[in-house]
Amino acid sequence: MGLLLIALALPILPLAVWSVSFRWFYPDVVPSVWSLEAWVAVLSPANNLAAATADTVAVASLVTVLATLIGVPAGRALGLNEFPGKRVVELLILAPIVVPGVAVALGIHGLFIRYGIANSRLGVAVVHLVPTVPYLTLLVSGVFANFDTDYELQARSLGASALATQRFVTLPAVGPGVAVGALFTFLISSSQYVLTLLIGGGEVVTLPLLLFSFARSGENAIAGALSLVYIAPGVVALWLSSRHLSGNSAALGGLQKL
Amino acid sequence: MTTVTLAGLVKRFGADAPVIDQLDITIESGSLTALLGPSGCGKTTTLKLIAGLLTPTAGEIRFDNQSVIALAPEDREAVMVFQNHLLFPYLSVADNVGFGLKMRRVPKTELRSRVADMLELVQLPDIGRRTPASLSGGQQQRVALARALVIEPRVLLLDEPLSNLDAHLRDEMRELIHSIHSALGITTVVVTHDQEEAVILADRVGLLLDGSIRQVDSPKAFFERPASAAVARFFGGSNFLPGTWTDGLFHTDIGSFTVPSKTATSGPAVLTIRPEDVGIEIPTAGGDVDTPLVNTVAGVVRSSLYGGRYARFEVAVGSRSFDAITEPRRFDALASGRPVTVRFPPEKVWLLPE
Repeated sequence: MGLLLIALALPILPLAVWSVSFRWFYPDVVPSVWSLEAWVAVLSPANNLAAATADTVAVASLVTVLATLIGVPAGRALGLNEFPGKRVVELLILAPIVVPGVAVALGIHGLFIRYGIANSRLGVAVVHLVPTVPYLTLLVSGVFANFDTDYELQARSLGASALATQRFVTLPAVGPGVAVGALFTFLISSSQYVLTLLIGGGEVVTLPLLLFSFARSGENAIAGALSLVYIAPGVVALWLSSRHLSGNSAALGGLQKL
Repeated sequence: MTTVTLAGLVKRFGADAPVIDQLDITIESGSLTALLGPSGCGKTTTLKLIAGLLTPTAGEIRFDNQSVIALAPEDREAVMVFQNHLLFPYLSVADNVGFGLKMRRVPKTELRSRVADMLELVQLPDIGRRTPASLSGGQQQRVALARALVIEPRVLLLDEPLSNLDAHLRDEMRELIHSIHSALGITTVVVTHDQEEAVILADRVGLLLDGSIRQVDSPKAFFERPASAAVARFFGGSNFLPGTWTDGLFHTDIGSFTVPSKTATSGPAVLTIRPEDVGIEIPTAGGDVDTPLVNTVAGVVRSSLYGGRYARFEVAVGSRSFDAITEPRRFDALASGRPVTVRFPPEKVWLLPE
């Protein structure tokens, strides 16, 4: 468990050092001049950190809701039923992940302009469904494959209505698994670059877009600081959910001990 | 008290052959009826149909002559206890037992006392706060039973209640089911593939073969008066002798036999006798060939098997062969190849329709 934590934390360390460096050249192991300038710059209103965070959270939240609404019923159907050609369907569901994002986005862009949702948070959220719904659907199908639907029948037989059965029996059983799926959806959405850039058209600037603009212009200290901010929601989300998921996954269980 | 009637019940999944085909049975009010049949014969499907968890393709299900087909499972008051007990793992034992009452919005104080009473009835007081996972298999089964009984259903449906239990737990569970049944008098339907389980548990047995009911009777009748060769075979019968019944005698290719007249149907029929009812005697030298005992034929022991509590023989008579079971002490005297006299006591043979 200790090794795992080191493996998770180690890549973050150089970013942290970058964020407080002013001058750091080869062959110095640590920066020769330290400074908090980068943090000041990142947190200054001029750099739009607040706006980018708002865009990121708004888009990712919307994506999570939409993807869950699509992916959970689809995953349930896929997980509980056997039918000829099921493997093919599973492969087709994964297809959007295989196709390069640029190709998808260029095609969809024209359509979104016609519907008037290009350059908007809604448009970005809808296009983010392309890389997220496949993962969520397959993950949820795995959750349901391990769920014995006789539990639902037992509840009905004991007097629970269809709705009460979903609430008191199905949800507690599959909830944690669906929550992990939703969490991954949120994280995948908040790390999208190409799709956000093309469909957002510069109007929707999420954290990765902000980060890339600094990294590209050689502002390593600011990029480092921004990276830490950018990682934060994911770590927080994992930490929060790990309280409900301990034991399900070593990585998540380990984070709980932080 | 509720009488359950299944009439012309058919259940078909997709385009496959029907799992249940024209099933008719009346389950008497307050009885403990077993539906017995081999695996895959549609027993569990039948229970789910009664519980409303499946919709029949055709046919009628009535509780006290009122159709319940249109009733949703939660309104049917026929509670099913699944084979693998299905306790909700994230609820305590008490919350599991109280589940049905909570769904019926029973006030909390009443709910608590009814749950406690029911745990008492299944002889598991003081475990309400534990989790299902911390219980043994037998305890889980009893909690599942309590969870079904607490809502005072009209019909209790038990799917293989003894099959997941060890031998000594089976006896305990059987006694518990009996005592609860006689205390509450709820019409109970038990499904099982185990002939012995059905016989020791139920006061009525319905034998289900290939999707329809072949015989509904007392457990004893299945051994003594089976309705067909298939029924007799399911209950361990292995001796079948075709022939024709005329003039008070049953004529076969190995001789003629006296049969009890009340069992006889005129014309072609099949004689059956249980292996334990077949008599095997060692003929005395120069014995009374002229005045043989009634219903005897000469045969030869073909093979024998020592079974501890019994000895089993295969005896050839002419072109036929019969199974016989005797007490184990006679094993040595009846070695393979030994000529014997085989006797079919008239009061123990039974005629089946051809």
